Amino acid sequence: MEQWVVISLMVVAYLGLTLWVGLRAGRGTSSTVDGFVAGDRNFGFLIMYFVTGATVFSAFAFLGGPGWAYSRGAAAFYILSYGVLGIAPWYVIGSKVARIGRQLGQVTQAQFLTGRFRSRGLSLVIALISIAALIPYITVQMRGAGIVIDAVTEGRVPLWMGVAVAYGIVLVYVLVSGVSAVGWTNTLQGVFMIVIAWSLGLYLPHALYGGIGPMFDAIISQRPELLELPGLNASGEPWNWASYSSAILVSAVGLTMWPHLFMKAFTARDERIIRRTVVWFPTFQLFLVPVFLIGFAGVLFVDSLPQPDFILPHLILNVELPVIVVGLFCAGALSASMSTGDALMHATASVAVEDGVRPFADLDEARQRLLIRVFIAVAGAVAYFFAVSEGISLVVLLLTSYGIIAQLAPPVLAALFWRRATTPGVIAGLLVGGLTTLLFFFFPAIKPVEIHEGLFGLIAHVPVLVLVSLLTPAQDHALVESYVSPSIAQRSATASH
Amino acid sequence: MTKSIVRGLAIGLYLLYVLAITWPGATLFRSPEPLVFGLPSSMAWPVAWILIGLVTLLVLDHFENRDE
Repeated sequence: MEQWVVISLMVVAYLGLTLWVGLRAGRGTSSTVDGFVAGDRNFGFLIMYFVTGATVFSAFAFLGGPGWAYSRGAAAFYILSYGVLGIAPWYVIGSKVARIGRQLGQVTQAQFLTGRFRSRGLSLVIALISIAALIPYITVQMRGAGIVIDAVTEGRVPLWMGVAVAYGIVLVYVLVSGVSAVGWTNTLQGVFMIVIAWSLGLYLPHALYGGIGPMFDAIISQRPELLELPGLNASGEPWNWASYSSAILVSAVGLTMWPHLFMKAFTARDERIIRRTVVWFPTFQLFLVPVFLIGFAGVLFVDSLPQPDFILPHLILNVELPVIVVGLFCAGALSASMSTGDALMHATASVAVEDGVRPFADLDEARQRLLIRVFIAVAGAVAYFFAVSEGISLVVLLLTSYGIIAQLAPPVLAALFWRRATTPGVIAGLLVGGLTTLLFFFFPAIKPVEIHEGLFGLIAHVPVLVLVSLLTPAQDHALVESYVSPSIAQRSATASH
Repeated sequence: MTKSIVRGLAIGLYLLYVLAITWPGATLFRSPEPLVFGLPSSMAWPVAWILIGLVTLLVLDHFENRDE
């Protein structure tokens, strides 16, 4: 049997297994909006661990990570640096958000924020920001899946068809089982990715150089500039410290503000689960190490690749690996893409309906669920259109959306910790921060220093939030306390009943 | 050790984490040499901080749950 046939059969078997797990996942979950969007708030530790981990191990990490290591060297270490910093505050914030969400019946980020800062306009703004940031993210995942399938079948299954098959399956299980499908398939996919990343990350340096140390010795002797911090920029020139450091800071601030991760706080069975997930998250971050080793393995073996994101499939196909390894790699890469993609599609549709439509239209439960399902299909279709269109720089869009998403951090922190914050203050801050980020993105020449545009946004955002809040009347005491000290507010509410 | 001391230490370590892996802390480990467990120093440094971050969270969580 030809190699590509064997690989294709392995991929089909793997996709079938994912579909089976995804469809079974929904059994036992209630057919309510709470069930579809927040899994009846019943996720345990194992599922939460993999759901959170899947946000690290996206197609961007699995294909983009080695791509960065191969083409930009030490610059890729920023991806290693921000994850743990970004998740650690979630130990406090995530568990508090979960408790408030449970008390007030919230399932999305905008519901959480507008619970304290009452404004339908704010809800709509957050919905629009989230969708604008999520669509390019889904598109990147889809392209990742398509690239892998295209490469290993030697072009017999073109990108458009590969994406359609992989994401057709995602669509089916997410539509049927909602967030429970996301949770259970992420667990299956997570195990796959860990095993495959470590196997390939250790195997390739040994096969090509005789070990990890000898590999880096060889790179240092031939291309010493590649491994020196802060690495290289996209055009191969030395990168600067301001860009490197600010990319870490903005990504760390933005990490838990991504709606698909933030919303998972509402799925946890209790706050303890969230705290344990945060504690063990760094172990997932360590799985990026073998991913970079794969990228570095390509440095001296592959002459300039027009698209560095192809380094992993390129190496896999040109190193004469056993066919089973290639098939497993393919399943691993699809796991990375699909485990992030499903959560993103589910989050996009939930946000669109719960935050963009529901504040303006009275919908019963059945209509809400129907509408969320319709929006999942729409989000998938829009992202599919972008994924199969050539010439759109998605990675640039994705990095910028981190800057926009990071603007949700000051309102979340203000809601939880600052009694004097007001609705006009939060709206003004969000608008100024968002617009500043966009301004420096579209006109990079006017940047006074070479830092990430999202950091400029935050620098403008915070003073405006503080100033406008102080200039407007303080909020109702009971409302503020239900956010700032939810446990005390709950105790006094129980006592008065 | 009381809970508040552990919390203070954890926050302090994480602030140090920020300084260590961005400018100026990371400039101390900008060079790839020497190799540490086969990895260039510039890569081993952020990996070491992931481990420090993990241990810090484990200790913090232990103290937070001691009374429960």
